[in-house]
Amino acid sequence: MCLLALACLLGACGGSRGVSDLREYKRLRSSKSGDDVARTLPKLTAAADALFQEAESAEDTGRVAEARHLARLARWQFLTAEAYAQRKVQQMRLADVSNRQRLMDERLADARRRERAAIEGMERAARFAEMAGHLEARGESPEGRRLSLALAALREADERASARLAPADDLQAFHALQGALAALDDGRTGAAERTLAIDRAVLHCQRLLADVTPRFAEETRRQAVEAQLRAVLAQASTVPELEARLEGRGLVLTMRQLFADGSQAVMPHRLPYVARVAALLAGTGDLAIRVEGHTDARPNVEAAISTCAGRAAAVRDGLAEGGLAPHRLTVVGKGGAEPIADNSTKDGRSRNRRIEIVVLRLTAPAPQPPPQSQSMR
Amino acid sequence: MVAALLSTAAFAAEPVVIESRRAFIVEQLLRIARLEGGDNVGSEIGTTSARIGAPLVAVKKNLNQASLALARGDLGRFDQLRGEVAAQMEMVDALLSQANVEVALAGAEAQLAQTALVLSEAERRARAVEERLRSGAPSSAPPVAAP
Repeated sequence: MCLLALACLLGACGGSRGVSDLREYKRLRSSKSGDDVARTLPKLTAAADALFQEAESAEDTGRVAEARHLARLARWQFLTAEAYAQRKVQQMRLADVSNRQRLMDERLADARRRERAAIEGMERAARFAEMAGHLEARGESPEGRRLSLALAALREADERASARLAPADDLQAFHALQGALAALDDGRTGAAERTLAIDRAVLHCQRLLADVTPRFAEETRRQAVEAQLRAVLAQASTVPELEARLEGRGLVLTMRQLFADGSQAVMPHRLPYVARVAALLAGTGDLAIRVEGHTDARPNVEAAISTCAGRAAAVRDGLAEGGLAPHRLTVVGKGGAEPIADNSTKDGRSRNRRIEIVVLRLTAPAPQPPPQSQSMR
Repeated sequence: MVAALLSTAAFAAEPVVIESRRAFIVEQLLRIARLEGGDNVGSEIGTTSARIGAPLVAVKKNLNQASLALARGDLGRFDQLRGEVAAQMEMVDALLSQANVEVALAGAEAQLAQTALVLSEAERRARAVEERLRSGAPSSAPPVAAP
């Protein structure tokens, strides 16, 4: 900054310092900052250098006033470039800081969520302990045993939900249990009314457990599948040429250059590549795998689809020979309907001709209706 | 000084051919007046005025000379000075632009530091509560009332 101010003050001195402007320009350009600016903004720096050369030429030929003028222009042009170069560096730092801020915001939200979840967990644990203590204090009775069973169901639902899902919305069931206990404790409550209160509590707890259990199982499986897919994705990076990514539909592996022109048979020297992918896919458990054939834009759509389907089938056969269970494998010929690159260029067409192997994710099951039976009787 | 220069430019009465040149001077002087009046982001925290102060002094000096050249009809000298002023003002723009990014960066870094403090405290609290949950310590929350 001091350098900049000094340079500008020199500029303020105007017309009698032409030669010093040339010297100043040389000094600026030969500094480390000069190299940095030239690297960051080569065009602007080149324009300043051109002005400087014109100034030197004018000085050499005795055109002193013009030399001074051009030297000043060169220097200001360079200082302009220097300011823009520094701005560019600061913009990069700003982008970095913004990125760190975003990550930190996510961590902050996560810490707050964990704190809330832990507090809610303690609240639930306290409620269960209180309720269990209350039931225990009442001593053995058929009604008490039914409520103990209901409480155990509620606790199980709560634990499952907290472990894999969002915390269960169990307040309604809990309040029903409290109501039933109060009915038992109140000597004035009639037998029919007590039974009704207990039935209601049992029903609530049973429903909650029935709602949570399949979702818990599904979520457990989904998380296991995600872990499998991510593990395979990580391993895929060790297979040369293989492109791998996770999408909403599942893990997608893209293979290219498996077939000779017009052929639907995998080229012999590419069979080991297919076998290696098959070995990679062995880590995907029993998940369904769809082999998709894609090509570039072709005028004959039906022929393109047929070719793609044939090629996908050839890859499917290769995967099956590599050890994957055939029942897991389906094929589809997509033709040129799903391009991923520009068909007007040779490179784009080459990218569009591909086999995609999709390891399909599980889809979430439809919500289960609560059961109506009361098996806790 | 700006007012005096404006006055000089206004009295440099010449035919239409110099009108655009006079307009250039007036335009630059008004721009300088705006910059010196703090009509930019950087000056709000005092960084810009220090940075562009010296360049603006140089620009005003050149404008003064350009105004005098115009008054005596030396259009060649005027045009040369106009080129220098244009280059200087481009540099001022660059400095202002840099200052604005610098201000944004300083703000972002300050916010990041603040968030880091908040995050540290939030993570400490989350760990403490999770530890209490694991150890089975009772909740400090009030019991749930029946509806």
